[in-house]
Amino acid sequence: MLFNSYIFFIFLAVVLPIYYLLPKNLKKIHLVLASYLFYGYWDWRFCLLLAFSTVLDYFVGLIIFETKDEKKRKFFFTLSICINLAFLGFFKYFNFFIDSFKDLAGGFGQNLDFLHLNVVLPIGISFYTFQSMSYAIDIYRRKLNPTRSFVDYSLFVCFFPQLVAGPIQRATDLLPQIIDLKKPTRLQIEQGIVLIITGLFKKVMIGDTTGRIVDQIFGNQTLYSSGELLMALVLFSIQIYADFSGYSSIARGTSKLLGVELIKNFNQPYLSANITEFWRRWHISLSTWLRDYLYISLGGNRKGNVRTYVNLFITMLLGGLWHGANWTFLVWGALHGIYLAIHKSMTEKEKISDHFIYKNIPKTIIYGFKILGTYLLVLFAWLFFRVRNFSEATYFLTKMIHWESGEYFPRLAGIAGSFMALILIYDGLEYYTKSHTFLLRLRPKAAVVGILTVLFVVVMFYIFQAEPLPFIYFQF
Amino acid sequence: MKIIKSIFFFLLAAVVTLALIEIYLRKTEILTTIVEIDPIIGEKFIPGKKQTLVNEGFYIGSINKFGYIGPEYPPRKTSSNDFRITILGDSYVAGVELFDKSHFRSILEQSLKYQTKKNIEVMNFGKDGLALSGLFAYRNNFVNKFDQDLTLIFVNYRDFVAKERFFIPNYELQNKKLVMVSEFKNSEKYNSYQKLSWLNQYSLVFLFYKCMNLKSRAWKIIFDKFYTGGEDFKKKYEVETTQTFGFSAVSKAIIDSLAKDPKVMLVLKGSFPDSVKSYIQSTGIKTIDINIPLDSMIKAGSDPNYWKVSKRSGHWNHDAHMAIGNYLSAKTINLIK
Repeated sequence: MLFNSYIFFIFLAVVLPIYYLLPKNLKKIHLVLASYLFYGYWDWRFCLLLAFSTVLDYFVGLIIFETKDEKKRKFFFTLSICINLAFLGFFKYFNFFIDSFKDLAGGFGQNLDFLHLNVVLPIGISFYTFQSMSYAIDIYRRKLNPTRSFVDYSLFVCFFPQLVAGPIQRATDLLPQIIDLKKPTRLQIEQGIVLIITGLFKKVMIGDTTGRIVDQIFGNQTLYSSGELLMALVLFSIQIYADFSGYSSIARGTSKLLGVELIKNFNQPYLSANITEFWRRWHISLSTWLRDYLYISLGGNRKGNVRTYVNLFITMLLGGLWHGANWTFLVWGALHGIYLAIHKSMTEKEKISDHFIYKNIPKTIIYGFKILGTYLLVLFAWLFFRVRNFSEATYFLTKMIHWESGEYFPRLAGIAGSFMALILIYDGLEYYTKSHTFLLRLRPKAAVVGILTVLFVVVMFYIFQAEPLPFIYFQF
Repeated sequence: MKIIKSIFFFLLAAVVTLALIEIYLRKTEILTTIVEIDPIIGEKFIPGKKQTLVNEGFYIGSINKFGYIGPEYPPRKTSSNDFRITILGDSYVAGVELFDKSHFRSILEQSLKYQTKKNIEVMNFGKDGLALSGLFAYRNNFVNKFDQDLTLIFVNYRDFVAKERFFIPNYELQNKKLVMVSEFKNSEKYNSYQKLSWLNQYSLVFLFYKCMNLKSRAWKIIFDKFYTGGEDFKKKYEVETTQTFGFSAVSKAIIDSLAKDPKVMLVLKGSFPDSVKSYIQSTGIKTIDINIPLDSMIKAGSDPNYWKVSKRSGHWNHDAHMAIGNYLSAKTINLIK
């Protein structure tokens, strides 16, 4: 079920009142059933995999916790991780590795075309697999006591607001809230409504509208000039942010209406002054997951500078692969790994800025250039995230070298600039107020209701006449 | 008092938000209105309006200051070397699914320029929803002002038998003479349109109209998989949009009238019943059959209406425009030399 569809709001209008009326224990069962309905709306078969993953990690979690024998603990922990990764590997990466192997064999004149399975990728598998894995890891590291309630654990895995595209929740944050489910406070309801409506606006009016242009241009690059292609990349940077942060806002808002707090997933990432800051502001739930469960497991920064850089690179490389089964995602991850390693090496020794004299330049201008520089690095990496293969990336880069602006470059630049201006104004307000729900600070409250009503009505009208696009991160 | 104050601030905030969204929609060109109602020719483009569309394809363009799509050629030719072709037809000719450089207008113009070394101007007077009466009215009242040497009128069989949209003029036979009737001018709908014409230019109002046009599909859109009404809305929509009145005497008279103009050629697209085809031939009007290049594409395994990127069927795709442009060039070059 898509957040940006009428059926989701009908679903919410049915689920919420029942949830508020039911007693505590039935609330949880109601939410589990609602979550399975939400997930099964795409394809009921996906629910089987979700249920299997839930049962497996629930029992493994209990066994790891209760077993005193260290070898046995390790065995069950390894078993859980391997099965989770095997599922992820099969559904997400099977054809990727097979196709890569076929390409390699093709180079030696071998035809292995028969090696292909039509595997349907279950939506959100990477998200709930990572969430389940963190549960097992935390129990193994003795940071968490497992829940004995199967319903509680089921709800932790399948909680519909964040099931298909995060934010990836830690058991230490989400489980206690699920165990002690509370009715939402008035503030949570107000914040929830603001987050849902603003998230919906971002997704539908910015993400989808830019996305439709991006899909067309990247779908057949040969028809467009260098300038038009460059603008398509800029529009993609806007699309992916509006799409994913819009989703995260709706997820957080919906969750607040159920009295549950989810972590912030985005914090004005395009206002970052360096790449490390960018990763503290972009897809926060994934970057912290990778930091805590991968980077630190690899040794983090405890084994010297070189090893730190290598660890950063490996973490980002695997982070890239997590996004999708394609070599282009690996390059995207590798680029960010290199950026982070270089930035870390620069900040540890001497700042690059030490080489320049800024005396006569206002700080805001320097800050502006840093933001622009970071954005350009991120933008370059987005190219590999968006293209379907290396030949598309090569074509794009060749067009950038042999520049021709094209008849519609200024028009597209104006359109991209308008989208970007809205994003920056909105993020600027969030940054300034340090709040994602700054609208609630407006007085009188009737004005807030007026703004939200108009935003909601316009978005609903827009959805009515334009087929909703799925969220980009659903494919991961 | 408190309630009145709340209502005031609610309305004030709503109006300001609407205004900001309107600016946003215009600047990002998400939704733009490009059509207004003229009392004589009915629906017409508004000069100077920009448009960006993502449908089965992707279009960025604008209505030039003279009121048609594409490059701006003034009503009077500027040099004796000019040869001017106007192309007239429905949405297939308008071609707002691709950039002008890929449109057959541009391909035809470039090809003729290259081969004749003359200054050739091809002007796109395509407009969606025009059937034969509408095309005829548009030609007589607007296109003919542009000093053309040749007019290519694109028609399919449906244009001969379909009912025109509400705001498009029709023709009647009075004493065996064709007379244009703009019935809409005396309608309540037109009067309300005129009263609210200032409002109709707003993107948000356009959004509202677009939704109203889809109201027969409302339950399907809202209830999605839970909608159990089958495809009734589709049938209803088809009935609404394909009401026909047969190959009438009016259509015949329009063809007769066009046949008298040596500068007019009919470009036939799609299949025609033999009786209609033979009637057209009997009038002596010159014709070009663009089914020939399109059928060749189909035989070669390429669907001229399929758009690979959006995976949708629709108007002519890039390859079809290329084939049509080259074919028209081959068929018209002798008229220029």
